[in-house]
Amino acid sequence: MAMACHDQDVTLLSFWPSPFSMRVKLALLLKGIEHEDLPQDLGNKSKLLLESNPVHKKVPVLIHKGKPIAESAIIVHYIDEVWPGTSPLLPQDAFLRAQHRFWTDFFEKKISDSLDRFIRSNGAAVNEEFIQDCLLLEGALAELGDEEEGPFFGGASMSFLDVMLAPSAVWIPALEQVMGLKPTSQEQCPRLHKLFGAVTEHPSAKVALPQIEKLKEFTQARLVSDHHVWIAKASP
Amino acid sequence: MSKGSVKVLSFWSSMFGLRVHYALDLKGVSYEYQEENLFNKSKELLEANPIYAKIPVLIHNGKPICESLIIVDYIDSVWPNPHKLLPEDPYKKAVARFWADFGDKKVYDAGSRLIRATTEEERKKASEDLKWALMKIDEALGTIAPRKPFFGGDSMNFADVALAPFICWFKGYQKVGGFVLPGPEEWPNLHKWVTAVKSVEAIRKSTPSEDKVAEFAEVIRKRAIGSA
Repeated sequence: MAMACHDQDVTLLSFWPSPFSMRVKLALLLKGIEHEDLPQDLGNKSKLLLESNPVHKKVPVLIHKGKPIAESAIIVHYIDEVWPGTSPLLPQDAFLRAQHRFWTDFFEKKISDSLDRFIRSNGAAVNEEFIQDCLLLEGALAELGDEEEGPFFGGASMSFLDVMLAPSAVWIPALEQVMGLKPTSQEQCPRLHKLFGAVTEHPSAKVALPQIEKLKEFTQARLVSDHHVWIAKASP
Repeated sequence: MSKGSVKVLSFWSSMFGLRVHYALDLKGVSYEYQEENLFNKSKELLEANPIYAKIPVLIHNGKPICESLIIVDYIDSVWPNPHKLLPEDPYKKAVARFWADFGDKKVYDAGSRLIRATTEEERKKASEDLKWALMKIDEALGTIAPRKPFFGGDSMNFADVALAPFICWFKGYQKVGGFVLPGPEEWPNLHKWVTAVKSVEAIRKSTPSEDKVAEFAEVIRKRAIGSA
């Protein structure tokens, strides 16, 4: 038995194209948490996945010391609370924390939802809505992020909201190039563009996020096969 | 206890609004309440929540916080005592957050579809989904806090506060959607939980009458059918 037997004992049930899975991977890497990454076959769910997340049967799931945690935002909160020392993610201030959670929730309700519908409609729907919502996010960045300190909501280093948004840095270009999604221009959202640029350059993100080319292949294959094991259905 | 001015913008029957009331009342925090007319929203609401223009909104020292679970989390941070809602242990905290989130994703969603269903097929699906969701809660209570009344054990925690507002809507789900809650023989934990929640004075304080809520559910349904 050659496993690293730390009292940490961290396992991630993952699915590489899932933006929710990417968030958790990124949080683990930012904090330097050793973990076992177990990619899941969502068309043939493992006993471990079904036992670890019996309610939703979705990825990602983090298993820490044998106890499972599900839902990406909840998992990242957990990671931040258990390993607070390195790369703290949630702000100290209660009001700022509420803002990070609010914009994460906004992203889920609006932007993620628009992208979902865009994909399902094969590129026919909601592009305009998506742009309007990105403009709102740009506004949030202007309000919450200190441009002098750095490109992220967290300034020079990534914070909770940056981690939650990071997968868009690869997903939006993939959808743009494969399905003709029109993202916001650099003139419309200069800081958001800078943020996503900084994400793709970040050493932890380079490992946690798949290459855009791989995502493009994945998207293309799904379009061709009409196989509806889609990201949105597959993970929360 | 005073930590500045606290104001709540809400609507009497809103489950999301009730979460905020419950959190503040359990902690004995004084606040000003403003009932919103959802067909004629106040300037204050529109300025406090420009993204969604929805209630509830908590305005603390002039700063607005939106989205009910985010508000409850905030309240628990600013007024940790008395009655801390989120457990200290990170795993227990994650479990509490999970079930609160489950309330939104599964219970509220099914209940909302039930009331607004325009076909029998929609109604039946929503009813089944609601039944499944409540069954999961019954199971969870048995696993997480066996032989205890609440998710939080002897007292209400974050998950209890998130889910408690559904209780006053059960009559409405029955009246409008024909949803009949299985009895205590089938769901002992859920029923024990409902009885325990209803016995908490702080909860009784702002919970509206189930009959009034059921009437209101009827109004929502009529509007949904009318516009279908």
